[in-house]
Amino acid sequence: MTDKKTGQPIPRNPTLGEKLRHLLISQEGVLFVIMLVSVLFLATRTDKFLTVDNLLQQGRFMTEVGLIAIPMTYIIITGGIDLSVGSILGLTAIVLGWTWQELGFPLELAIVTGILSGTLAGFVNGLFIVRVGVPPLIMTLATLALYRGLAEGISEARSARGYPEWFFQLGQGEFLGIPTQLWLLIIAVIVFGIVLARTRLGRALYAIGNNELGARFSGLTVNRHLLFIYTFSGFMAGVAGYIFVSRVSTTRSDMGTGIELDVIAAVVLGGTSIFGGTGSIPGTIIGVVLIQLLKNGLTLSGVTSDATIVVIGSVLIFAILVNNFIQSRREES
Amino acid sequence: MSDALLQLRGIDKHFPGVHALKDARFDVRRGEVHALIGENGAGKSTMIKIVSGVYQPDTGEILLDGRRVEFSNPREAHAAGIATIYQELGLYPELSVAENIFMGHAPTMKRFGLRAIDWEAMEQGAAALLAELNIHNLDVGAKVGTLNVGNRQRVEIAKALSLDAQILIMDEPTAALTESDVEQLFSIVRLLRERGVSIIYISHRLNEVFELADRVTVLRDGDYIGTQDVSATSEGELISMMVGRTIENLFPKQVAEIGDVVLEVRNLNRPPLTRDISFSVRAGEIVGLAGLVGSGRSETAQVIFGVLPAESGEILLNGQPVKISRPSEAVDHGIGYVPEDRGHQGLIREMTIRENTSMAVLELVSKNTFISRAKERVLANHSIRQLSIRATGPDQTANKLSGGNQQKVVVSKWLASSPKLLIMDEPTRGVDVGAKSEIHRLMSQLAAEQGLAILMISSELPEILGMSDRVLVMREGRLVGEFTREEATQELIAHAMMSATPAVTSDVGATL
Amino acid sequence: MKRTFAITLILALLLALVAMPLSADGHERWDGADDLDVNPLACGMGDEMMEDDDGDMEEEMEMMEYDGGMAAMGDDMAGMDITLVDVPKLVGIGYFAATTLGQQQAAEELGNVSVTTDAPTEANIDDQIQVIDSYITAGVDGILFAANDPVAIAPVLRKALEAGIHVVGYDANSEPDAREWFVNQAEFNGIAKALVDSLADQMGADASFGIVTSTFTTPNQARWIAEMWAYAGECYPDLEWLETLEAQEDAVLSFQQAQTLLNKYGEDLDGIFAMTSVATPNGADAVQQADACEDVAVVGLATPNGMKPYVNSGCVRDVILWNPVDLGYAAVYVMRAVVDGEFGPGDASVSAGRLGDLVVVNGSEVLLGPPFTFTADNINDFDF
Ligand SMILES: Nc1ncnc2c1ncn2[C@@H]1O[C@H](COP(=O)(O)OP(=O)(O)OP(=O)(O)O)[C@@H](O)[C@H]1O
Ligand SMILES: [Mg+2]
Repeated sequence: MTDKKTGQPIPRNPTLGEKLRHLLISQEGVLFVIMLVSVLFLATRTDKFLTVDNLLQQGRFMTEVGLIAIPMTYIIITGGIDLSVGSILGLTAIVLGWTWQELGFPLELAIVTGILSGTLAGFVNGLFIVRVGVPPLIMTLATLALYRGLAEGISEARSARGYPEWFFQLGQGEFLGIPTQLWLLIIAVIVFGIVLARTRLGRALYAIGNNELGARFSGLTVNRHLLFIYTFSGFMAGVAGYIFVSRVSTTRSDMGTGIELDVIAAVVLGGTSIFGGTGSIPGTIIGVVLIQLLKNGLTLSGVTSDATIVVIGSVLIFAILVNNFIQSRREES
Repeated sequence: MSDALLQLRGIDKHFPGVHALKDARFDVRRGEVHALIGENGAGKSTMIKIVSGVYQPDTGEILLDGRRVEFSNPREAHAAGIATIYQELGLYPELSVAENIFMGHAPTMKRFGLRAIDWEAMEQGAAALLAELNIHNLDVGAKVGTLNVGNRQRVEIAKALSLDAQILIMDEPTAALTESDVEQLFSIVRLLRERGVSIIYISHRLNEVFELADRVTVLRDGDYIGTQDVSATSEGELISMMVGRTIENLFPKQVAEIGDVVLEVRNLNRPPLTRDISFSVRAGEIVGLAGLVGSGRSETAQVIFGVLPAESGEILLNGQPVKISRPSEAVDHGIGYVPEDRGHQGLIREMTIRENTSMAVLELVSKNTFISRAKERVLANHSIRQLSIRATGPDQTANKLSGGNQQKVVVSKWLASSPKLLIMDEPTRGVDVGAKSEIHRLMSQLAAEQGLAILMISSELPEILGMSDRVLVMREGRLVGEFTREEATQELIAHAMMSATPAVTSDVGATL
Repeated sequence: MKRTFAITLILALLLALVAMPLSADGHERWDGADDLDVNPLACGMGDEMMEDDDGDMEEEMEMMEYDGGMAAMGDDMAGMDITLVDVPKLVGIGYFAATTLGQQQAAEELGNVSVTTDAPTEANIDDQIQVIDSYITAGVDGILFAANDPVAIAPVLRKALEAGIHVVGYDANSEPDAREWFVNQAEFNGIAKALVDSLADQMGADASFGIVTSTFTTPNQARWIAEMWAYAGECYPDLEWLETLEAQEDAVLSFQQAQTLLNKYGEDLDGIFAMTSVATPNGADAVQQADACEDVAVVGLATPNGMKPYVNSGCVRDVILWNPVDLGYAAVYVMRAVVDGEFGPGDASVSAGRLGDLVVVNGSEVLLGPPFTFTADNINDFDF
């Protein structure tokens, strides 16, 4: 939580204009402007980009990354990291398909089992990080391999297909003209954005990220919070896994491979410091949207995927530089 | 002034919302110890950071040896012969003494056509530097993290001198030192003065100013108040220059009604620094815990607070045995702890005053887990007023505060939790005389009016004697003495602290 | 202590989860094989057989009805300039560089086709879907694809068909109704036979071997392994399968997995089947570095350029493949014919420039021809 009011004389209430200015030069504000500029630029390159259909379709594509980015923001704010989310996504997908097709679970139960196993996987991460003291990077790097291996072991190279029609509603359907899963993302962003910004849980996460020892000495239940967020991360990866299967109609053990990097890139682009202590859900979601729109918009305007990666990387660095510059100027003035 | 080595004139410095220095002045002569004093937030650290190139003044000029200089970063000041030991120590704990001393300018040699660090020369150089300071028993290969505070400081001094400094700046160097370490520091300072090094010395302890300094400059609220020859001034005059008023009583101890036992510990054990500790603290009572640095006082406090859970022994609160295995449980039981290390344990320095003061009482400022910023702000404003914290407002980040004001935030954070038992570990470290007396007054008042039980750890014997109803003394992890307020004298306590057999500190170089 | 116990318990549970599916029913098929129907060719050696097969197949397959999809009616582009996008599994590897080359050759010959290749830099199902989706939005006349997953890619291809975009696959198929035609580089059973025959010929009918594949779920590799298993079962019952290892399409991993086989089985290992164009040269490299060229035969699928060092040094005798340049070339010709209305359901063959007439098999597939074996005699004639 970078404070928006540092350096402001206190007694007078800020006018609307001043508030707007502050919002604009906040991390999220700067990023938002970069996003607007990119969108406008892309829109001039191709008229296919800025259409409702295309934008909604991009919303559909970014939901999994967006959902996982929420707990990832929490985790990175505490100074941790979760590299295993892609593998948890794959594991969830496989457990879902396997329990349904091989074990004959009703599909509803298979979905719940899948998400629960994702949650359990996250819980195991948290348990080792908190109780055994394994650094998050090491622990989740290990489970990145372990959970993927589990998924491959369970799936035995078979993919589960042939789901009933209702199953695809979430991943391929629409509700009130908007992709179904996008509703889920919107709700999650609002709820967990408020949780982070306004509740005791959120405050504790920032405290832990800035100074874990200080947080402990303040009587915060640091371990419980950490355990919770890693479990939450597993849960969200599980939900994303379900959505993913519903979107692509099949389960494969390599699902979600590499998604952790997309997620972390979006979170960092969104202004969350990899060293912990700062970050926000609005920032993260702007990061997710920006990356998705760049990917899509560049392809639409004839840039090939390999070049797109370069552009996205450059935008990431550019955004971070601009933000650093503006934030340091803001501190001075 | 022609004999001035360093001269600052018309220095102005603004921070957002703060005018930290207003047309301030300062000069240092060759080979003098010049004390810089003032209240918390008066601008002392800012002034020396300008000299050492950390900050650049908005206006004003710096003359070194009569020539105008501008330092745009600490490196340039270094090169000009100005070395600084900051309020918050700045060494690398994982590196050795020698590596720290020569950080950034290690002796090198050619090897395989490449420039490589000459480790042997570096260690020899480090040993020689330490020897020059009359420090002979510090292992130059030891990791700095394993040294006690006094030795770390010696390393800092050696590091400063490795650059042939002609001006050495020390920002509250004694705040974290034991008495014997203070003595050693003084002898080093005198030695340097004899060699013609000029020393700028910041301290809140006026007795040190009188013992050590040749001249003293007072700042108040960023204003230059005056410079005096130490031989021609008095403590009272300096205080009134600093505070703008006189302070009658440094230890405003109120008579309190001593109530029931709030905390009792029995045979508390967590070797090596907590051995078989038994004592009690009653409602309304202030119990002083004295001892040398390293005698286990902080560790014992942390055992009670659950940071270092006890291996055996019992803790009873209001007569009920309780199990405390982490700080959150201690807080739930109504225990507060103002820790020794404010930078790491006490504060979350990147967060605001508002967020820090409410950190231990989040339940109180929130409704259904939603934090009310309005309530937090009320709380923070109350703290700011109560302890006269010098800040632009509740939303200022803690690391923008001066050292003493940070300490006040830590104290207010735990006062806000209205504990039944408050453990205070060096509660007034780095706090100016005025605020110190204010904190003392608050402690007394809370004990007398609300029956708060206070366990106060302090290395300042006057504070122990002035505030305590009872004094406990620790040595090498054990309780070795207990005195009532009436019995306690400086000599008795000091004697108990040092003991019959000279204290063997776990660390090298404790004695010269 | 309770905690330690809890942790141990959870670990044990996890391990059980891994072990369970592995130890469940003993493997009937080799690891890495899929569980679809198999159709092994007749036993026997040599190219003559393969050529004979051609005839057989033609007859057999003609019975199947067209099972591909149909593009919605769009503008009639017959004979007009068309823009195609080619979305292989990934870009940046020699194999798909070769298919791209073939496509460009065809486009140049035809003169009224332009093709751009665009795909993710890693073989990722979701990235591929998103790339195709963007091109549907951008608007192209036709999509050529090589699927990373036959099912996952289907919805987006159907979307393309609905939008009136023609869809032709090559190299890796999708669900048939999600595209119009698929150019089959070689039938699975044909490749399987060529691979197994080569190993048996080199190391004897009782050789023991391991397999390095991409992943157990990659459709082509899984199909080949299944067919190899079936063909070996009928024709070389004494061949002993040891283990299948996954190496994705990763050079370092492929090398390491081949090394693993060498170290683990030592003397017992007579051969390695390398199932990807990355695994084959890297497997050969591992064998050559271990000085085991005499004892271990590497037989695999690869592009000739990657294999020239090993074939020329004599460490590897046979490299099995089709010609990927021809594959890409054929895909563009098929697409052009579809757009021009010259090739549609019910047709038995399509004319593909320098390749002549290609036959239709399996309802909606166009067969490129029998697999090709590169040896020291011919490998230097190829450059891709
Ligand atoms: N980086 C900064 N940003 C904003 N304000 C600052 C900054 N550094 C110092 N200040 C403010 O400038 C004033 C002077 O601070 P300074 O650190 O010089 O005080 P000090 O005299 O050293 O006090 P103390 O005895 O408590 O250490 C204080 O009000 C402080 O809050
Ligand atoms: Mg200071």
